[in-house]
Amino acid sequence: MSTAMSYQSIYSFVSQQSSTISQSSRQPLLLPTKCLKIDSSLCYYTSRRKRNLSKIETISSQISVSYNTTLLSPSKNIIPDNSQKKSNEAALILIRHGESLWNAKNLFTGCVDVPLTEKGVEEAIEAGKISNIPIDVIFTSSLIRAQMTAVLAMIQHRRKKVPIILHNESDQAKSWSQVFSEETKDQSVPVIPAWQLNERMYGELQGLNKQETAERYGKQQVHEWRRSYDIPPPKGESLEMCAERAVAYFEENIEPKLAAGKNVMIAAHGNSLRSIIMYLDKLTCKEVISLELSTGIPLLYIFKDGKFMKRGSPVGPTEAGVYAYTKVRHRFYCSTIFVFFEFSVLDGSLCLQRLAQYRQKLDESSEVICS
Amino acid sequence: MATVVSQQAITSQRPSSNFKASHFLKEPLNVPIKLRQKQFKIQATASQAPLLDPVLSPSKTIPQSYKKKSNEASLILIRHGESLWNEKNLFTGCVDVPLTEKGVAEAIQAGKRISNIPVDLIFTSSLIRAQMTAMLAMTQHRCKKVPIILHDESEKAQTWSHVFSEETRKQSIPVIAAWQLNERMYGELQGLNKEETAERYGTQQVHEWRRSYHIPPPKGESLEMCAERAVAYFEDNIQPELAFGNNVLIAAHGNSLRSIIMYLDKLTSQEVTSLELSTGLPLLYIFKDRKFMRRGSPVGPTEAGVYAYTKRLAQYRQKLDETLT
Repeated sequence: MSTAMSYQSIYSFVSQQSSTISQSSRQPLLLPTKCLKIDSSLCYYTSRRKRNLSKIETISSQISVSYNTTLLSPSKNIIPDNSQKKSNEAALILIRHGESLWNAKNLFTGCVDVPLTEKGVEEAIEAGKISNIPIDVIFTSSLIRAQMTAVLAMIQHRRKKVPIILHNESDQAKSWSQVFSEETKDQSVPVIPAWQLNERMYGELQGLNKQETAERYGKQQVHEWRRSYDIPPPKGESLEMCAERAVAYFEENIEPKLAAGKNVMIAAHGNSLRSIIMYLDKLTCKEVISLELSTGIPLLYIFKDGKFMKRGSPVGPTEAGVYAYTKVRHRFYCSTIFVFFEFSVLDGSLCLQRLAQYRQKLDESSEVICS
Repeated sequence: MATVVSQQAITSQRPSSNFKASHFLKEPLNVPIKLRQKQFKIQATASQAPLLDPVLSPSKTIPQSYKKKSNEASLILIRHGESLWNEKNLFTGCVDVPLTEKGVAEAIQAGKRISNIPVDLIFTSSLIRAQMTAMLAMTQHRCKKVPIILHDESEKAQTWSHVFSEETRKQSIPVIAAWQLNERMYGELQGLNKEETAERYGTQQVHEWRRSYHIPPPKGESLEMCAERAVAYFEDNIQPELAFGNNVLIAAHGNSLRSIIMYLDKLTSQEVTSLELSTGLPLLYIFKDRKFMRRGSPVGPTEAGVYAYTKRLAQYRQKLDETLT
């Protein structure tokens, strides 16, 4: 197993980012300076799509992560249009909306349609650092905080295409929103709102603060609802139920676009995006529970040959290196990733192999049941 | 009709509730409501039953059994700022085009100007540029209540967006999105720029569509048609709220707001075609004794200008000053 790594760049990168590293990530980082190719064998946890699974299968797979410098350079167009059409490659950008007014008040939001705070607005504008990746279609949830995030992010887009929200709620809505100029249509990016991309519906907890909830139901119970995969709060959705409708929507409506070579942006919520990431990265229930998505930081995936490859976060125009850590609270991963960085400076191949072995060990010792 | 009356009976017992938003502010009830004039008790229970159906058009006259919240209510009208197609000089109409950075800044500025005026209820069109304007403006409001967009496109949307805390509901401002407040529908001109349009139809014709009261563009609405649906909606849904004493903010578009102003100020069709509304500048009206009194535009917080507040508004501002630092 050979790795072509520039230790210099990694080391400087690592030391620069050491504070955030401690938050840990289970994904390879986006390294901004050099072109890297890392081949490794890693054990993957996979779960089949059927929910009544009794055993997790582990497979070894080749991870080939290649970082294209042009992808990261803010000054050039990253993926030229003509190459998109020829190749069967498409970009998928996921953005989790920023702070909402109820986040600020620490209330359970769920599907209540609460707007962004000033900070959330700024986060959305910041997320516009995707300004160099062409976008052909945008999907959002039916909640305004996600729609605002998409639209504010697109203000920064260099292509200057105009996002237009499609209205399908009635025949009148459809006919009233028709555009009558071909040229204008070409300069537009359709925005498709879908309730299936909504935040997980939190049932009777919606609008309650954590104190109220703990008083009403007990701390233990609340913790269970928040952190389990398949236990819903009263009249609400479990993460499993949320994942079911979000991933189904993704497969039926979004994946075909990617397969057709269209670049897609999804602006949605913590749980709906996690669910989609679970599908893209083939995570287990346990992994997805501990997956935390940073708000306002776009995550890039490349869809090619029917597969999704994670590409971290696109670099902002004035920043030296930004990457979307997925903050994983699970203790295993913390130490694993720390190991990754410690060893990466010395010997790249060793670290990844060790990571693989560690994961294999984890897999052998625990059995995750997704019911 | 029964639901309407029962709603109204309930609200008479709860002086702080609204008509339109009463279903939002109330806790869901277990038992069907029996109609009684007075001594009506609401058994608010923790267990959840489906919400009462929202009242879509309460009658225009307010029954005497109401206890009004207040004799006076403020009505704020805000026209959204620059949209991406305004910038490109394209006819927008009902195409759902968002704001530019400038439009966002205009909305925030507008918010600063109304930060001292009470808002109990917000009406917007179904287009995002108006909704964003309202949301951005409210981020500046000193009362710190949280606007919540009501969803009634389906039963599921309704139940999914239910709020289960009384206290939280009290700290919320319902936002109602209505297509009747949409911009005038521009038919086959939507998406065209002025040049294209002049070429296709002739300068004379285009001018006529844009500036006349009765003549619609092909497959579109005339200003008259737009006014018809906007004013009807206002009379049916917004005026009763004002009559009850709720303070209302309307964030909408040039033509729908003009239409409403035509109704408020009793303008002629000629006067309304020459009426231009500044974008992002809120207009304040006071509704009192069934009359609308124009109060101009609220001054920004750092400006010295004189502006006719009513005593009630002055007291509200004082209250904000006392409670917030």
